Amino acid sequence: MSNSDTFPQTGIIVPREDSQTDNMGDLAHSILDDIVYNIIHDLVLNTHREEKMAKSMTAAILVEQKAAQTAPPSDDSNPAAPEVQHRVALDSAIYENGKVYLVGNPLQTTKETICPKCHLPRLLYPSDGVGARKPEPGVEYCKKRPYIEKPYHDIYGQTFQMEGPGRGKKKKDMVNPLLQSAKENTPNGSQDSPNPSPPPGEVPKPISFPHAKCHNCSQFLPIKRMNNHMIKCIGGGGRDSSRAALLKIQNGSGTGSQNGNTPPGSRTGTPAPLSQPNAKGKTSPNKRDAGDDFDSDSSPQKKKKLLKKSIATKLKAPKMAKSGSQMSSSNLSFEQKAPATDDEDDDGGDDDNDADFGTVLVEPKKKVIKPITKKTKDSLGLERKKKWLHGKGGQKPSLLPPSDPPDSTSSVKLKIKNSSSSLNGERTKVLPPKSLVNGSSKPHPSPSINGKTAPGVLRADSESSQTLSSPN
Amino acid sequence: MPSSRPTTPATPASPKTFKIKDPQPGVPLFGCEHTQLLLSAGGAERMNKSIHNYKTCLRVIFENTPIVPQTSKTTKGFPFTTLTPNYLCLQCSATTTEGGRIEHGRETSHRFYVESRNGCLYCQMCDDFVFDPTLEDLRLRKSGKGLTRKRKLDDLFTDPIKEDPRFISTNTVEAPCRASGIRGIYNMGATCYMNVILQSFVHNPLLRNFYLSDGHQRTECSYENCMSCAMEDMFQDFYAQETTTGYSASNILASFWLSKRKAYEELASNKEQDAHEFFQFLTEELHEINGGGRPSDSEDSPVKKSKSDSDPDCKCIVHQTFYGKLQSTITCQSCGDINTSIESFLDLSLGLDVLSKKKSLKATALSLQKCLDEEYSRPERCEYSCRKCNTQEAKKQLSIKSLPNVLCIQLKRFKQNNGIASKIDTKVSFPLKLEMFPYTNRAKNQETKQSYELARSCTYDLQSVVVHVGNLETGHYVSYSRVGNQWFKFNDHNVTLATKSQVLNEQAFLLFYVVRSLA
Repeated sequence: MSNSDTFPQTGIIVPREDSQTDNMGDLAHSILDDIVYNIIHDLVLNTHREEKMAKSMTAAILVEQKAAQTAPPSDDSNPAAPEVQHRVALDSAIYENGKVYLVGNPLQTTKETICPKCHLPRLLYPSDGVGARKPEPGVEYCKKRPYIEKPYHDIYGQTFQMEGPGRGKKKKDMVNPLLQSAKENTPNGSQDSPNPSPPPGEVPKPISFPHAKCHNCSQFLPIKRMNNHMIKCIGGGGRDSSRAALLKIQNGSGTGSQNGNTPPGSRTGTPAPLSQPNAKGKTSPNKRDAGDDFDSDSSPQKKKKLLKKSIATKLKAPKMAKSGSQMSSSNLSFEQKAPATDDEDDDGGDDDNDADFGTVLVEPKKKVIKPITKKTKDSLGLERKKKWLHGKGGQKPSLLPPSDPPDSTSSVKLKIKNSSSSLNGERTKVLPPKSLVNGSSKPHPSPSINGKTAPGVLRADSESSQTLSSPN
Repeated sequence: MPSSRPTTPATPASPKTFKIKDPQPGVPLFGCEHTQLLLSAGGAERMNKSIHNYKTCLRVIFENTPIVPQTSKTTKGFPFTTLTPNYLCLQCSATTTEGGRIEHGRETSHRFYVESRNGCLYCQMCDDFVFDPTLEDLRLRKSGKGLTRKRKLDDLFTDPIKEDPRFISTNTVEAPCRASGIRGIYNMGATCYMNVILQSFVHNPLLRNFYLSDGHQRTECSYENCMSCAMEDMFQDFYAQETTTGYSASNILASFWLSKRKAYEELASNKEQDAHEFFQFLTEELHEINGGGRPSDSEDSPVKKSKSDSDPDCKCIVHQTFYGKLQSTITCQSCGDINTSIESFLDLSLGLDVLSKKKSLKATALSLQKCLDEEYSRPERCEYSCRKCNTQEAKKQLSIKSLPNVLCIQLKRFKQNNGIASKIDTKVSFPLKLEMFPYTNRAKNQETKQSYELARSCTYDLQSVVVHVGNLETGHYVSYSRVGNQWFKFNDHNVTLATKSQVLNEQAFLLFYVVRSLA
C-alpha cells in the first residue's frame, strides 16, 4: 500500500526530462494532470455507460425473443399450474419466468445493438460521409441511424445544395460543388441515400421547397412566398406595412421603366441591352445583365437537353400512349407543373419585386424566339406528328420528338426556362406523351390551347403534380 | 467515514425496506451476475442493507464537499486526498484509491465500490462498472434531481389516472424510431428570426413535454387561429413523423399575422425582424392562451410588458418554463434604509455596450459569467433619493430570487450611438454548464452544508444558441440545439452536425439554458 501514499501516476502529460521544475511547478503539473485525467475519465465513463446499457438491453431482448419462440404452449390450457418452469439460456443472458439475468459482461458477449423499440439491429456507422461504412446488404436496420456528416448534405444525407440560379447569379454560383465532388470520388452508391443509385454524373436532387396552404385563404403557395403572401392576404395596418407599400410603389416605378425597355433590347439582340442599361445607371441594370446573360447562355443548353431527353424517352412514349386515360391525367398535371416551377425559381433569386419582373422579362423573349422556330418547323412537325400518331412509333419518330416539344408546349417551356436543368430534365420526360395525346384528341394542337388550359387547372392540381412527377 | 453519515433521522432507527425494480421487458433485472448475487441471494436483509449502503455512499458523494469522498486513509492512518476518482466500499465504510481497491478486496473480500465522482457502481469481479437498474435509478435521482422536487413538472401537469401504464399504452402512440425531432424549418421569406426561436422551442424539454402530453387540448380550444394549436401541430410533426425534410411553419406564421397584437404589429411584416422580439411575442401569446383569458388590448410596449408582468403566480406553461424573479435591493448609504422590490423576468438581458466599457471587464476577454457577475453580484451606485434622509447616495444590488427552469439570456448586441444603431461584435464566451448559484440572493447569506445541494440545483446546461450573422440592416439567424450530447446546426431547412467547439465559438445572441435537474 506504500505506493498509494504518493499520487498515482495517471500519466497524461509528461514534462521533458531536462526541464527544470520547482515544487510549485511539480504541483501545478500534477494538478493539471489529474484534471485532464478526470475529464477523460468522465467522458469515457459516460460513453461506457451508454454502450453497456444498450448492450445489456440487447442481450435481454435477444433472450426474450428466444423465450417467446420456445414458450411452453400449455399456458392457456392449464391455468391452474402456472409453475411451469420456462428457462432459456443464451451466452449473454438467461431468461427465467419473465425475468432476465445477465451472464458475463454484455460488452463482450453481445456483438450487435438492437433497438429497444422496434427490435431491429441498429446501424452503427453512417452510410455516407465521414466515417461511412457500407451497411450489410439484405439486413433491415432500425430507422434510427447515425447522422451523416458530409459537406453540402444534411444529417440525413439529403443535399441542400441548390444549383444554378437559385443561389445567385455569379459565375461561381453556377458551379455545382456536388458535381465536382462526384467527379472526384466515385459515388458510393448506398441503398440509404434518398435517391438510390444515382447514375454517374447525375446529381442528387436538392431538398425541394414544398407548397403549403395558407391558413387564411386556403390557397396553396410555394413555401418561400408565404411571408410575402401574408401581406396581401392578411395585411396589417401597421406603420411598417404602409412604409413597405410606399417603398414598393417607388421601386415599382423605377423598375417598371426598365422593364419597358427590355423587350426591345432583347429583340434586337444581345449587344443592345448592354449599352442601354449602362446609360441608365448601375444598380439594377447590373442585376438584369446577369440575368440576360444567363438566359442566353442557358437557352441553347436547355434546348439541347430537351432534345436529348425526348430522344431518350421516345421509346417510352408509344407504350404510354396505349393507356389513354392515364395519359391525359398526367398530362394535365404536367401542365400545371410548369407554372409551379416558375414560382419556385423566382423566389430562388430574390424574394422581392425582382422575381416578379424576372418572369415577365423572360416571356416576351421566348415568344420572339418561338415564332422563328415554329415557322421553320411547324408545318413539317405537324405533318410528321400526324404520321407518328397514326403509325404509333414506326421508324420515323427519331426525328419527331425534337420538333414536338417546342411546338405544343411553347407556353409551358417558356416558363421552365428559368428553372434548374435537373428539374427540367425530369419534367421534360413527360413532354412527348403529352403532345401525343393532345394531338390525338385535337388534330392540330396549337400553343394557345395549351396556354389556356394551363393556368386554369394550375392551382387545384399543383399538389398532385408533385406526386405524379416522382415516378418518372 | 462516520463523520459523513447523514444527520437526517431517516435511516438507522426505521430501516426502510427497499425493493428491486420490477422486471421490465427488454431490461435485465440486475447489472451483472455478481450484483444479482448481492441483491437476491442473501435474502431481503442483505438486499436492504446493500441498497441502503449505496444510498449512503451517494449522499456522501453528492451532499457534501467533495473532499470527503476524495479522501482516503493511507496504511499509516494519514488522510490522503486526491483529485482523481476514489472508490467507496459498498460493504463497509472504507474509502480507497483506485490502486488500493484490490488490496482492500483481498483483505475484506468486499467486491463492490462506488466511484467517488459520479457515484457509479464498480464490480471488482467483472472488473468493470456495472449499471444495475435499481441502483442506477437511485443514482440518477440523487445526482440529478437532488432536493428539488418542486421543480418536477410532472407534479404540476399530471393527474394520477394518466400515470397508469395501461392508460398510457392504450391512449398513446409510440413515436417511430426515425422521428427524432431534428428537422429544419423552411424559410418563408425572411422568416429566419422565427425559425430560430421555433427551433429553440422544439428542443425545449418542458415545452416539448407539455405539447406532446396534450397540454393544450385542441378540441377544447375556442380561440380562432390559435397559436398554441399551431405549436401543437409543430411538435406533433417534429416528434411523431418520420419525415426528414423541413417543416413548413405556415400555420404559425398565419397565427402570428392574425394575432394582431398592438405591441408587435410591426413585427409581422415581410422584413427581417429581431428574433428576441419574436420570442417575447410568442411567449406572451402562449401565456395568454394557456394561462386563461386574453385581456383586452391594453398592452403597451413590449419592453414594459415583459418587465412588469403582473402575473407572478400564473401557472401557464410559459411562466413555468421561462419566468424567474429578480430582486433589487437599494440600500441608502447614509441611513442604511433598505428598499427591496421584486419583479419577474422572462429573460436576462446583458447590455454589452455598457458592460464592455466597465473598467473591471475592459482588459479581459468577456465571458458570460463575468457579465453576470457585473450585473447580479456586484452592487452599483444608483440615482435614488432616500425616503427618510433624502440623501442621493445609494447602492443598488440586483440578484435573482428565483430561477426559471429554462433560463434565456440575451446578449444585447445592438447599440445606439448618436442616433446611429450599430452591432457589437464583441465575442462573449459562454459555458456549456452554467452555475447560477452565485447570482442568487441566497448565495450571500448561506454558507451551510445545504448550499452544495442548492448549488447543484442551480446548475444549468446549454440547450440552444441563437446566432445572428451579418450586420444590423441585413443578416441571417442560425441556431444550434443539443439533442442528448450531440449538437446540431439549424440553418432554416438545413440541419447539419455541429461540434461543441463550433457552438462555443459562435457569437451568441440568445442563449437558452435548461436546469440540469430536469434534463
